[in-house]
Amino acid sequence: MMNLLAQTETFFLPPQASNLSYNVDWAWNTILGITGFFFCLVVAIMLIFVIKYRRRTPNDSTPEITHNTPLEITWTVVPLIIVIGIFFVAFKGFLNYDTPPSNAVVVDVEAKKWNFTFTYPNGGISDTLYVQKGVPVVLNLHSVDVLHALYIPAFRTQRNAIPYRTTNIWFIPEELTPPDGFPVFCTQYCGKDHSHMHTTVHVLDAADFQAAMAQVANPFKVKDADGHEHWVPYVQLGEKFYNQMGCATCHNVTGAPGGTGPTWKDLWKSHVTFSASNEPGFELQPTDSDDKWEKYITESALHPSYKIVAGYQDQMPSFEAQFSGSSMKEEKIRAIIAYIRSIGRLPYTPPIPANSDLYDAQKHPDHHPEWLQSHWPAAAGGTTAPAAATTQAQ
Amino acid sequence: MTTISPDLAHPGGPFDSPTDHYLNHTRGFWSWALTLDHKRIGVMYLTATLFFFFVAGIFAMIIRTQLLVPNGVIFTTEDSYVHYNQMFTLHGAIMIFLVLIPGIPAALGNFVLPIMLGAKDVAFPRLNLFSFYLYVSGAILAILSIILGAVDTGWTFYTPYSAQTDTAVCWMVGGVFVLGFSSILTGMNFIVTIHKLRPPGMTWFRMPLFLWSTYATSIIQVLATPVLGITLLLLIMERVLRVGIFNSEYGGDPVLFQHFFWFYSHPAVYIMILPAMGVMSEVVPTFSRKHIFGYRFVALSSLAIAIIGFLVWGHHMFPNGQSTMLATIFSFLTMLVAIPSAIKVWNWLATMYRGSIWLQTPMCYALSFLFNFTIGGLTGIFLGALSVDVHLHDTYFVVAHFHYVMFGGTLLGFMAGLHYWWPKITGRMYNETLGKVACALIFIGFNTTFLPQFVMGSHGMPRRYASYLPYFQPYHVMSSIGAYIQFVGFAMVAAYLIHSLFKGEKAPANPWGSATLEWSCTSPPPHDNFKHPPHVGDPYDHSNLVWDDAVQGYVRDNRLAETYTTKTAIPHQAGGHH
Repeated sequence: MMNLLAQTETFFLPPQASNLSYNVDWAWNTILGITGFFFCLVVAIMLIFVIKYRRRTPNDSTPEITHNTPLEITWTVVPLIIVIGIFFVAFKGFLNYDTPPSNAVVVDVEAKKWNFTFTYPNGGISDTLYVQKGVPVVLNLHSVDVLHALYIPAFRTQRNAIPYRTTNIWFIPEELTPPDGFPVFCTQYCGKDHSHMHTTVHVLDAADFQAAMAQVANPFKVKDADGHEHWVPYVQLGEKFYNQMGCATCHNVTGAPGGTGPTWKDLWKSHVTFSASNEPGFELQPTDSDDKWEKYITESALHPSYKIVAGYQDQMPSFEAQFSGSSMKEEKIRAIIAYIRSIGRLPYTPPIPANSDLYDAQKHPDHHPEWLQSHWPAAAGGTTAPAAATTQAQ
Repeated sequence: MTTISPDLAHPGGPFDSPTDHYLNHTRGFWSWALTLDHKRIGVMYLTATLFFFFVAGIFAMIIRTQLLVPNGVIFTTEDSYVHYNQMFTLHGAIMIFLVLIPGIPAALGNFVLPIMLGAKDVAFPRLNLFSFYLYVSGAILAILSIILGAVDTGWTFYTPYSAQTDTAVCWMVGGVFVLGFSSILTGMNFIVTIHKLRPPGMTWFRMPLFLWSTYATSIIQVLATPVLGITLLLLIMERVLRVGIFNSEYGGDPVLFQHFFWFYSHPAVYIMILPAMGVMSEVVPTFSRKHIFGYRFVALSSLAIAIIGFLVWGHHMFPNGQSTMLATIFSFLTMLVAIPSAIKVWNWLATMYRGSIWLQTPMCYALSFLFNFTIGGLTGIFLGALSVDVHLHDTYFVVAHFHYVMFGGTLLGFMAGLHYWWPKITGRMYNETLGKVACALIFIGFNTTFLPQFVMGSHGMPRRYASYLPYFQPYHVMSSIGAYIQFVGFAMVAAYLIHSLFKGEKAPANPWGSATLEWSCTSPPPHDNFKHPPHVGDPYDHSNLVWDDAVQGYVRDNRLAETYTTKTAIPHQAGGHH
């Protein structure tokens, strides 16, 4: 949180990092000055009177002053004029919130219990918000379950995310953020983990922003520090999606009892029974085929209410929108399945991505056998590598 | 023309300690449980209110302890956060529906309102008792909801969350629904009482200002509370029958719920603060030994607050998906509602001008009210200003603001009133020194608790968080320390008030030198309050009240009284018009 200590921060306000900050801060300071003056006036008068007119004897005689109409009209009308002035100052600033420029980049924000998912124009998704310095952004907010709100203190803006409705906020980010970003909060109370529903916004320069966009568009490939492109192992990606898409809020991977949804630890090829199902009598057995299991997990992500595991409530939102928003829907689900299998009881060797160019030594001169062995045991021929070794790669 | 009431002219004087009063007039459980005496009903309300204040205070202590460290002290896992959410919901719901709304009007108001009018009771004593039992029933439902699965929706019950959560929302909402009827009936009762039971000579503009503010409060109670009742009933139908009015899953509109809810709950803020302002308008003149300044402005500003207060509910929803046009109108009206409150503050200050200011405990609370309520009111301007509110909405700034109004205003007003009327209610004096020390502790503790919340709120700390970013920790620690100081202060108050019940000195009829009618009957008052409807003069004329060492209180000097009555020539209305 060192970023909150950036130089533009004042005693009362966080740094000014967007075009909306100026009016708000100006209005804030004006109101603070005016109200501060009147507060001091009231307290000063009170203290002076209490000291000067303190009781001397129980029968002090006091003057009979009942009213003074001109004085009372004065202290009615003067504050009235002041508050109407304040109204107009803040009204002018408020109009800014409703008028995004036409060239703004549109980012879709899905709020759900208890995280945000940002979808960019290139189809990429992320759980933290990336914006480019100086480029106006519109955030289209919607919610899949209850009310949420997206609030960025450094940008001085917030708005509620409402189910079955789209609201929006816009801003022009004007300050680069430090590496850990500015905080983004959900401010509309949304249940158990409301206080964990926060993330960060990163204001980047053009080059960094392009890199970030490339990364979110194709999470299967990353560039390392030398500029080499790597395929990211499935298990590692699956774990990333697990955290990023919000699976972690309800499904634990430790096997601890009492989660909102079933644990993923040792889930693969266990015995699962259902309290409700669209296929009567449906059950999952350790002996069932990989295909049947994969089909079930895919269905659970896209249509969670089709089958309800015994002992749990029907409360998981559908993730269909998040998967279908991306060009790599199946690959992503495959990565999540790979992650679930990697924390299962059975030894597991992750598959190689379809159309992988891993073997192309000319494209990947750094993919020497040792690297392949540690990252892609299947590709390197070491099919017996335990799953644990794979997950530790990151 | 009789110049003073027969009670005052009684040969023994009203100032000797009474042997037969409302507390010992009849005895036994049923004499209380089935009483029609407004004073006993007031005392029962007071006891219940103080009990729930204690309960909600414990919840507040749990909240503040939890927030000492970023990841929480008491509820540290994600699954246990639901219990934190229950804590702040119960704190809010109990404080608002069981303490602040009935606190001054139903508890203190029931006791003093008829006596201030020189009446024997409220207009409908049976209805009054019924209101009390509705209050008890609502409270029992609320307690049941805690046992059956404490609500975790926040006291605002926002849909669709409140339509979906597993906790006992129906019970709590049902409790609030019943409490609403208690509030409506009390309001109706007071309106009729004020209209019909005023004694000869007490014209509208000769009423004590506490009655004006209670009158304005009652109007809001009668007009706004039914809307809350409908809303809560619809919420129950939403949960039970899935009618799809508020729950978006079934095609409902969650924002509509917010409009309905705040249509009551914003005026409810004025239900809470207006009676406290009424207490201020009694305490400040009494302890300044001076006529209230600008009676008509103070009286009519209560009505202005009641009326404009109905038109500002949308300012709770500026960034909640309300249209820009609506937000603009509500912001403008919100600015207007600041004015009547400002008028009152200036008038109380002017009342103190050239007065004889006596710093007894009630006056200390009144000064504390002036300080804190001014902060509460002025910070409301930040929130009423559109663009600034977009930044501050749902942060700790809002939490601090409404605590400065609800605690710094209503509760300190309640404390002022409690200390002011304590001798009248119980017939005993409390320990002044301890009273002032506790008042100072509460003042210091309160400001230590809530001033840091303005700062962390404006830095973006969202409300209703069970855990928070480490950046905010210093503010939270300071805030919690303040809360503990307050707790010590209130524990002291409880201790010396209970002590005074048993060991306190006997109270004179008029310990503070107030001119309103309740101080002309004995402390505690007799069962019937007044044998005959008393004659009344100006409720803020203290010139004929003189200190009498023998009774340790003020007595009316008849010579001065005669001068006064001749001077102001009260029109005598024939007969007691009951």
